[in-house]
Amino acid sequence: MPASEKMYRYAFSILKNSETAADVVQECLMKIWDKRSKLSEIQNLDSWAMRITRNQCYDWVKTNRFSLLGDKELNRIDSRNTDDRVLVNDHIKWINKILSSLSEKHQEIFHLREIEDLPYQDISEILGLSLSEVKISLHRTRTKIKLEMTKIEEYGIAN
Amino acid sequence: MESQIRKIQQKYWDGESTVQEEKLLKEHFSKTNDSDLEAKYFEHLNQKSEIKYKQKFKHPGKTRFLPRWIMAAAIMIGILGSAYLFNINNKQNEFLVEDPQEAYEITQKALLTISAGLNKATILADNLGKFDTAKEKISE
Repeated sequence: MPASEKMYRYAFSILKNSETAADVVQECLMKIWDKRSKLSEIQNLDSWAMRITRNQCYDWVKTNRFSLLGDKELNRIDSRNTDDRVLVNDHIKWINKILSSLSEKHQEIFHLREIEDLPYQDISEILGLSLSEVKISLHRTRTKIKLEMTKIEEYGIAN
Repeated sequence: MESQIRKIQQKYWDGESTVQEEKLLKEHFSKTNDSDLEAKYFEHLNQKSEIKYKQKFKHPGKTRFLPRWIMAAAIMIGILGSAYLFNINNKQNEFLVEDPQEAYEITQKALLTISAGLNKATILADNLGKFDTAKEKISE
């Protein structure tokens, strides 16, 4: 399925683990296969597949939250110890730092638009949000990124 | 082209760009060697959108069928298991008596053995009764 690559990247953005994301996507593909007789009734297959992926990811998180807790703790410790001075040429770190400071909802909206190139309507269907919520969220995230970029360019550091 | 890219960049930060325009931005900056931060940002987004899992996902319809060797092993186990149960059944039949007269005589012997045991128990019970009667007379 062509959508499986999108589903994988989306699952990976939520679960932060390659193998787990692949397992979840494989389960989603099985679920989609089980409902193959009803696929013709679905208007937007890609959005539907992504919604299944999202639900399956959060089901996995609920079941395995204690094993994830350790990883989240490590991330918090890492962010506390990270020096706020970020080298100008360390692009990926500062982008990821900004994104990790956002709520899960904003991170998902960012991923679905910026990485998967989905229109606002599809994103609102997948996440169960209104169009305006999606647009506002994305605009705020981009504004934040732009502000950080400006700071780095002017002062050479990111706060 | 450059001016068009600049315009789309501005629209992007203002939240007014379309999906197609944003794709154009990412593709443009992934091909250039611009070192400025914004170029690197779009290049990074483009790289992330090209990530794939290292293996192909299995077609869900094909994962439901067992491999052939497992099916062959299951059939062999079924055959061997049936042969074993058939063998046990035959051994149990060794105790069957087909002749009715012979079956009657065996049953009669078994019942006599049981009744002999019952007789012994009856005699013992009678003796105990006599003992109790004697005991009561003494106590009077």
